[in-house]
Amino acid sequence: MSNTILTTQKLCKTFSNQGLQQHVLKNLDLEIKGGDFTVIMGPSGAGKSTLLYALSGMDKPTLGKIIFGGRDISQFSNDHLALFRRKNCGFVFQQIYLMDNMSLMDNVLAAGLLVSKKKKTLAHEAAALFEQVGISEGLWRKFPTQVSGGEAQRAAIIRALINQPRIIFADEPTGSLNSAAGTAVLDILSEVNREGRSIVMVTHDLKSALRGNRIIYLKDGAVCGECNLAEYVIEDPKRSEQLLAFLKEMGW
Amino acid sequence: MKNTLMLALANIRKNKGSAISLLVFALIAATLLNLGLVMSLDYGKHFDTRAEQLRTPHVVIVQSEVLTTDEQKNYLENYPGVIEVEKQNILSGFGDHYLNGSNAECIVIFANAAGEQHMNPPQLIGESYPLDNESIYVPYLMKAGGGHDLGGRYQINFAGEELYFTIAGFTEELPFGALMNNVYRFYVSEERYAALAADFPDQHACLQSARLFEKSLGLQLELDYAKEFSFTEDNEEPSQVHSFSFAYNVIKSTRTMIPSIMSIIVIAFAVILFCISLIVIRFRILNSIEEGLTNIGALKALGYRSRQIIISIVWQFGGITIIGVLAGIILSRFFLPLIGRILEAQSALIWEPGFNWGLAALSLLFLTFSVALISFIVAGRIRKLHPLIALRKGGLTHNFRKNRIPLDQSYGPLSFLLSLKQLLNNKKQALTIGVIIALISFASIAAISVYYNIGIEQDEFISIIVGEKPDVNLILKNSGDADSLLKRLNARPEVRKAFGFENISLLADEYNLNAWIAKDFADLEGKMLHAGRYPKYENEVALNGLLAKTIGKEIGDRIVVKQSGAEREFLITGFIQKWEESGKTMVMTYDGLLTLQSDYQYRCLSVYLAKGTLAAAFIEDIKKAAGDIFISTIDINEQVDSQFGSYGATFAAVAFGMLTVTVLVVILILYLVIKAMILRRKQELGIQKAIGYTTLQLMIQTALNFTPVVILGVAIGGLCGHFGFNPLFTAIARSSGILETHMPSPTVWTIITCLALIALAYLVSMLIAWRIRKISPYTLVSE
Amino acid sequence: MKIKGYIIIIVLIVMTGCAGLFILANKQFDISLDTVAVNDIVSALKAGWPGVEEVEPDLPGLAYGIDYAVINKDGHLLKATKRGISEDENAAVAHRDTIVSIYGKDDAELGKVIFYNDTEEKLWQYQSELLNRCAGILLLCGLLGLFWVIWVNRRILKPFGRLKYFASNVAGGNLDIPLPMEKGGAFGAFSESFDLMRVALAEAREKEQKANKSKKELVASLSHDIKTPVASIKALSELMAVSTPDQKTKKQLETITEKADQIDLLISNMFHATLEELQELKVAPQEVSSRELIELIKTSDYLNLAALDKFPDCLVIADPMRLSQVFDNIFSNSYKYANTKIKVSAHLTDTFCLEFTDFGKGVPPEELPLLKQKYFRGKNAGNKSGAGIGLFISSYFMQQMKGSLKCISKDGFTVSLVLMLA
Repeated sequence: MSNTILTTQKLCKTFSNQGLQQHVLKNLDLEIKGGDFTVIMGPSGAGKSTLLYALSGMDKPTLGKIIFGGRDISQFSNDHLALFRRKNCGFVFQQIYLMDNMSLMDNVLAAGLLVSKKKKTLAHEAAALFEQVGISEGLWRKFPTQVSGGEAQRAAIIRALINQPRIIFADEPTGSLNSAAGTAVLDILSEVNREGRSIVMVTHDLKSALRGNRIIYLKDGAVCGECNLAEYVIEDPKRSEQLLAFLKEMGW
Repeated sequence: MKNTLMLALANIRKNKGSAISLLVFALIAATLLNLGLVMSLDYGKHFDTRAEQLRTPHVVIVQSEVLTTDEQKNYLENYPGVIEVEKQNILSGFGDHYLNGSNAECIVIFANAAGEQHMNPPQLIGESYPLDNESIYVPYLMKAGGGHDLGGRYQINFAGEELYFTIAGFTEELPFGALMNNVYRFYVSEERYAALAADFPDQHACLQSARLFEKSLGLQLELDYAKEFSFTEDNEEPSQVHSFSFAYNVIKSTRTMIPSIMSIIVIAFAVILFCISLIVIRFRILNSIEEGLTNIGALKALGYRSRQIIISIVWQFGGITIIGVLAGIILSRFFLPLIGRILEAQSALIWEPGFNWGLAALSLLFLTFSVALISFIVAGRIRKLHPLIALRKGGLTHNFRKNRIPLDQSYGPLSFLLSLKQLLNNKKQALTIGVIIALISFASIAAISVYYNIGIEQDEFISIIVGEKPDVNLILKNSGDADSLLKRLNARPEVRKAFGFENISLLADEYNLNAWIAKDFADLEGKMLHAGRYPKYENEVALNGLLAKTIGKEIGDRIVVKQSGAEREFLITGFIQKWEESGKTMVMTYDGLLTLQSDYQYRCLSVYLAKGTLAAAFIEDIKKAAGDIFISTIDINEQVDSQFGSYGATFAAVAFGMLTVTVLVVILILYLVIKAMILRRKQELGIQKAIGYTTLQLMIQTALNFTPVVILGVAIGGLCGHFGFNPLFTAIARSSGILETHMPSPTVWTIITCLALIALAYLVSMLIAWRIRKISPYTLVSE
Repeated sequence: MKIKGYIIIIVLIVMTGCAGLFILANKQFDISLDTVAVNDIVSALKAGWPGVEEVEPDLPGLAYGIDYAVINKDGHLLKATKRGISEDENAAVAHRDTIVSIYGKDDAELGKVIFYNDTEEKLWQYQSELLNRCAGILLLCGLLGLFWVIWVNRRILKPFGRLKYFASNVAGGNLDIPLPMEKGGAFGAFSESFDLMRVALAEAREKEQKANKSKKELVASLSHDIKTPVASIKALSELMAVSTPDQKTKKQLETITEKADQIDLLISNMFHATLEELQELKVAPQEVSSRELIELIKTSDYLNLAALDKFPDCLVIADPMRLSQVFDNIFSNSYKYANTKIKVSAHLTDTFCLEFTDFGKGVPPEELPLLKQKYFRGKNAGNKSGAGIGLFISSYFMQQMKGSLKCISKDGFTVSLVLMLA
């Protein structure tokens, strides 16, 4: 239990639209441990993204608690949440969402400078990370619209990593990328996870899901089933078989 | 037509906030424009109308009775263009009266209320009592600007004697009843008049008035009359105090001066605001095109023609303007009586401005047409927009730029750097705001300077108007006493210096000028001179710069001066200016005048007192010491206070109004721009929130975004206002012969105002940026 | 961008030059003598006459910077501002100097002042100033021209270079590298359309690949779907193989009956689902937040006797309208029979439990199981009005919501509601 970083208790999210209520998440009880690579799957409309954004403190749940590192973040004010996010969470979006009036480096620093004031060290760290994911200086001086989607997404991962958050939240990080770029992005995420950082990822994609060691299948806002892949290494074909069997069971 | 109207209405409904702010802009511009137009056009016209109704003379000539001949009356009657001539016996002489409790020098005219008078007969305003031997009718100014009430005690010092009356009524007095002219006509009963005439045998005078076909010819008649009778050898005492004349134009310009300055300021401000409105409208249209790009694409795809969409935009903005302008015109209708009352204190002219349909229509047409035109031009770029490109939202906004401020290499707070980036990416918008802020701060700084110089630190302004401002003026009964008195005065310890300084009428290059005479101009402390130097030798003069320009004289040229039949050439050594005499001023040395009139002697002495000496006490002292040799002793400071005190309030109102409008404009413009910006950068703000920016950080970033432009705009506008104030003022006062002024702009005030404007802009930005809190990072996902 | 910018720059350069020329032309060569200064000097000399030579060492008006010599009426030099200027009338005439006579009071000539003609010097000054201005204007025009060249290079030549690189990329089949374009440059729209072409090419290629892929997928899924009917046909054929030929017809009939039964079942199921036992008491369970329950309880408790504990947050399955009827019933019962405070508590296990406890006498244990029956009224009902149907209906509602209702009588009367979690 000691390495549990995130638990939810009866997490509910309801959207109201002119009196019509739509319950997207229903009484979810989840637990995410340090070092987990959790993958959330499920049919569209199952509330995967909603869950991800509620977990990450981007959005407040309607009911229930989210305990992050012993604190209930569901009661935080918006600004308090912002302060919480910048330290503890990194985000990778399907639409990448880099600020397109800033170069890749500036995008990373715009996040990094929120936490650390040491610009030089930060710039060095960022440069090292860029190097690590194969983005050269010439490239990270460019604007997001001038680089390919894969490069932009890698930069977005670095932006997520720069503050050394405890969890990375990824919302279909490969969704807008071609398969080669997607693999590269997944490789980076796997590597990040291997270094001990927790990742929570929402995906539709089997190849992405295979990277996770814990698959949570969401249906109609509730956990439908769970599958543990941790015992198999990534290359093991059994891993993929197990996952397929699980998904079939879930009715994917 | 129906379709386009519908589109326009839909657009207005969609964006109520900016529609309202545009409305306010149009409203303010229309209000000010209408106010300015009515004031500048209607006020003068009203004066003319009223003057015609009262049969105001176009020339008035006051002369000592002994000098008045039938020949003169014949001359007037036979002068081409004269309709009627009237000659009246009056009493005229130097005196003092009291305005708001302080004493002021003036020329006093007593007239017999029962006497026959066709031109501007005593017309009573408001309540009145019949005249008895103790009561008097005084000009309306005494009530409007002087604080006197019906039935109150009224003191006039006339030719050295103190006279007391009860006020029985107020007359609507055009030629002799305004602050600037400083000549007042009082009506007393027949018996009292006879008594006064017996008491003051030396003050008997004649008032000759004439009306002409063309009132502007009065000036020429005045000049010709002076040439014919005043500067001849027969006229033994040409500088007689009660020998003077006014033409209608002079009367009118002195009485409408303050309204015209005010109207110029207001119109200038209206024009600035109007420019701002146009800039804002242009900005709004571009913005709405950008925002509604997909809409426009959809409309085009539906088969709307570009023209229809453009017309809908023209409808949208033109419609808002029409409503705003109409409201503004109605609003100005409420402001006008207020302004009329403020002006009354100086002009003593009862002005009840009616609704001027013509001017209102003019404002409406002008403003609406310009707005419609600019909408049409700006919206014209819709024509070039292909529906597909519009639908894709592409083309217009897509661009690549250089990274101006790489975060890893720049220093400074994060919010500041980010806002700077944003600023550099929106240069056009920054320019728009900068220009607007510069214009508006220019206007308000100029207004504050006007207020400061006219309302607070009047010295410079007054010295421009009166030229020389000593502490005490002494006017002697007998000019022979001057030299000995001066010697005694200069020997007194409380007198810093005393010298003879007075004006006489001269003819220079055929112009009747008011010449100021002094022995040594180094004694003068006023700032009449604005080019060259004062005359030093007997063959030198200095004259008004504007007059010199009209007659084509430069410094170093020679000019012929006539007096008492003698005439001589003088060298022009400098240009002077003095508002009071509307540019018909010159100065000349005492020795120089002696070459024309060898028996000339001073009657009027200027005394400067040592610091700490009370003028009133000094006057008492000198009266005791010198005996009864003065016609009048005047405490100049007190007089100035009474004459100019009320200007402060007037211009404070103007300055306050402008500052209010400035603040309003700053708020509106920032509201428009920041709102549009937040809308446009919604996604970016969402991303920033997602990665952990707090609302406050983003607000500061947004507010800082405009701060550099605002600072720059305020700095430019402030500097222009600060240093451009004097040229601006000169431009306004040019027609009165003022070519150069050195009125101090209040540096501290300017700085404070500028800082306040910047702070205001920052606060307002923060306040408007407060709506960022509504943007949630979650909108990224849900959209 | 349009040609506008270039024209503006050229016009700007030309205008700068013109303005420069205008300034040059306007700079007049002023050789006039300052008459005011002359008058000052002459008048001062006259005032000091005689005795000019004694005035040591200054002559009047030196501040004007005008050189002059004073001679008496006999033509002798009295004094001069400096040596080397015309010192007698003859030299003065030769040098085109200005000679002014000094007259005394009685109009008698006292002497003359010879103002030295410094036109030559002024000419030199004028020329050098002219030269400086010319140089300045040339420099300014040059700078503007330079700026223009740099600008043209940036706006035209460089984009051309980029276009070349881009074209070679496209030719090589590499469609991923965009053509950088510059805002407003001459190549803005031009390069944009090139880039659009690239994007369109890339899109077309991708679409082609996708179309191929989806065709394959369709074939695969169809084959999977057809499996089921094939399976039944297979089963049927097996059956037929086992059966004897003379009983063939009977078997076939059996099969048909079977299938008909199946269809019948399907239809009856369908009808069954829609038929309601009690149509007027329809219960529509939905997901309700536990917080809404609090509101419902508060509205039912019109005497404000309830003391609510904190409810755990969760979503339960309930029909808010029916549930509030249940609450109404519970509260009215309690008001009727106990009329005490009512403790309302909730706890969350796998289900959501609500307990309403009053502190009245409760009911005898033997009556407890009967309470939920139709038309049952307890002994303590006495003459209190009622039909004995409330708890029956409430219990029915709770069942329809997949929950339950339980009554407990121990230290007062407790109604316990169980609701399912969503």
